[in-house]
Amino acid sequence: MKKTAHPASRAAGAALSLLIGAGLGATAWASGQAPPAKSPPVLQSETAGVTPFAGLSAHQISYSALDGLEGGGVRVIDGDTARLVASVYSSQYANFEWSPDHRTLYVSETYWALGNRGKREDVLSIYGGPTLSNQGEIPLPGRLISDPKTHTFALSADGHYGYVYSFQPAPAVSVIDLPARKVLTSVEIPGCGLVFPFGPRGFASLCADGSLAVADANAQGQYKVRRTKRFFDVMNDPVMDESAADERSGLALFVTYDGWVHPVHLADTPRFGKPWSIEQAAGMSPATSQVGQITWRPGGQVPFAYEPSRHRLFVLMHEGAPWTFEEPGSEIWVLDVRTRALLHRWAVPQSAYLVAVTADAHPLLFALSQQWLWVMNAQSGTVQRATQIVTPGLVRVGGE
Amino acid sequence: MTPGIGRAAGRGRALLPALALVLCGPAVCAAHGPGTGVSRLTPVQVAYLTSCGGCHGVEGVSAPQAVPTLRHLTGSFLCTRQGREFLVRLPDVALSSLSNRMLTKVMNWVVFDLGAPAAGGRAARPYTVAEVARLRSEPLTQTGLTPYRDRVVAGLQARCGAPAALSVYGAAYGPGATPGVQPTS
Amino acid sequence: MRRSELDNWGERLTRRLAGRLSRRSMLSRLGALLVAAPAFPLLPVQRARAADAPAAGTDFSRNAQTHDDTACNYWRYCGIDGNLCSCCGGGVHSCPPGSQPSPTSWIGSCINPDDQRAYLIAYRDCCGPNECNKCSCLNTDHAMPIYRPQANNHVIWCFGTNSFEYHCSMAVLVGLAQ
Repeated sequence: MKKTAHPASRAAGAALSLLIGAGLGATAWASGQAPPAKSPPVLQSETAGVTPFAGLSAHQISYSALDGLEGGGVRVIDGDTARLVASVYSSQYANFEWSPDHRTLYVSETYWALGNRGKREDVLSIYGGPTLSNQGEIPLPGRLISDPKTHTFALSADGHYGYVYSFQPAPAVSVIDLPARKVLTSVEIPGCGLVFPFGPRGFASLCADGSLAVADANAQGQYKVRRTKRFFDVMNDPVMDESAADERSGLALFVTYDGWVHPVHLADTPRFGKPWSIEQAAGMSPATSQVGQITWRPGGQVPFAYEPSRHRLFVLMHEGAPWTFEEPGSEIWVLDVRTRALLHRWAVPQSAYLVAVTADAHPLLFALSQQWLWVMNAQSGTVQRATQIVTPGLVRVGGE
Repeated sequence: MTPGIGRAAGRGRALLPALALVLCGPAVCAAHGPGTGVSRLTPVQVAYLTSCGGCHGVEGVSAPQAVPTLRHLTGSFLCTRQGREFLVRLPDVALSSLSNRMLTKVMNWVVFDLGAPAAGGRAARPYTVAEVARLRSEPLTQTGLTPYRDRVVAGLQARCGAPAALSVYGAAYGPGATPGVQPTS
Repeated sequence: MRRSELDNWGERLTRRLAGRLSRRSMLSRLGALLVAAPAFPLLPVQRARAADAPAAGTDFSRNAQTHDDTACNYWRYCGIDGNLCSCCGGGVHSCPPGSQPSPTSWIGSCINPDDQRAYLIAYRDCCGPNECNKCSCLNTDHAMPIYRPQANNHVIWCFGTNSFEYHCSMAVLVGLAQ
């Protein structure tokens, strides 16, 4: 190193020192000597941290964007303020579920290394902690790639196990030990699909012949699968994918295209209740698939929400022809599943594709149309507030 | 829409390149409407197409690692009793909405027409209605279907020289996929 | 396969209304039916309902047309769910350049209102590019839930192509059901 610096650089160095010195008042630098030993200065008036997240609260709703074109991801909206409170990244075709304490979010998703091609990665991504940060992922052996369907991914009621429905090479459910972050086994369910958990380790799946497949594990963790009798006519009036179920009680409400509700208590030996018609509960003739029958029918992307504490089923209903089970609902019908009575018919401000209801003592009812979230009082049907959203795919609320 | 071209049913031919959309091949286009260029499908073919053709392909070929190929291969299953029974005990076959009579016709079409030739060139007798009715009452609905198929196929290959192509299905279909777990019972 | 059909909800509604408002053509077809009493081909899927179904097509075919394959009520689209490849640079049985046809699909049946006959249609997807996002249609005539995948239009049917990225849907004619 030269003893004397180049004149130009020395002048520059001196100028820089003066500049820093002027700002810091550290005149010792101007003379070229080392700065005094002390803590580095803090220049910012404010720090930039992360707004704390205490878990999905009772009145908050989380939803996924329908597809990647609109930004993707999982978003949390507060029902009392209609504000966005948190967001998490996800791939297209993702599903997601909260742990029972609503502080950990599991996202079942698939990526390809080069976007639409390359090495495929199926993973269960984990988000949690006070900042809802990524906490790694569990590799999955595969998962179904489809438009969003609620029951392709589920947690056991106690949150210990995750269940991911896979389609290749054959229908199967991957059982994941979530605390251990390990896939335990893959349970094949030939000819069946979707996952409706019950008990500590059991789950049921709907089958293409109109029956249920019931899977449960013995003490050694080995699964057996049994098929029940056929309980619905799959070719003429199948049970809808988005039927509602309550994991804690094990009650599933399997609703068909024509609005027949099949209450089934899920267990190793399921108990099938007598089916009843939503239209008949409203004093109408039951809907059928007869050509030309225009009547009220359930429909939408997620047409059902169940509130276990008051035994209420909320259904998006539209007036239409047979086979219109994905038409949005112009009304929400509220039914008591014990008495099988229609309690209310509420108009929605815009035809809605999804419906959800919170599980607390002052429940909120959420109706989601193409670009709006409507927050309604779940006991009166009054619209309280609304906010714009991206086109929704799936919804989950606290207390589920 | 390409006009139909007369071909005898069951005659083998090479598959067209992927870019050419095949509307009907010899296995399906047995007859054609007069002057319309649209293939007329028999009830058996309609049953195959609506119950099976979506996943397995109009010509019995789709995505070989994800869905078993039927074309030129199902005939091989008739070679062992286990293979013969396996095809009818498959849940999507056994529990389909087709009647015993129609299902028998469809299965014979799938193994003798779509699935020709049989392994080792051995003649095999067609399924009977009584046989199909018996087999479909014992569907393979337990977990572990894929490993069971592997064992059936291994038997066909060892005893009858069935094609190696039967093993393509179920192989890891993408990097990152792991094989299924062994069955519990 | 349905993806962002909700984006074009308004457009789709307009197309459906347009289909329903062509009363003149619909009335003339009904008139022909009353006179000709055609043999109505019964498919396995429809056999169970033969007793209660009148021989006058389906709810979809009654409002369908046969001249414009860029409209959601084109007769072949009775079970299509997604973007029409006809609007994306391809055709009713041709994938747009840049995409690849999938060998798998669900196979439905639609009635051609011109001859009141049922035809099998393979709703094969074109895969590879990002979603086309044009002419979004959601028709679910006889579509089944996802646990009966051979007749479901939400599974991404891009098996056997280079990519699981959905671009658009075709309606490939398989044949006439006798």
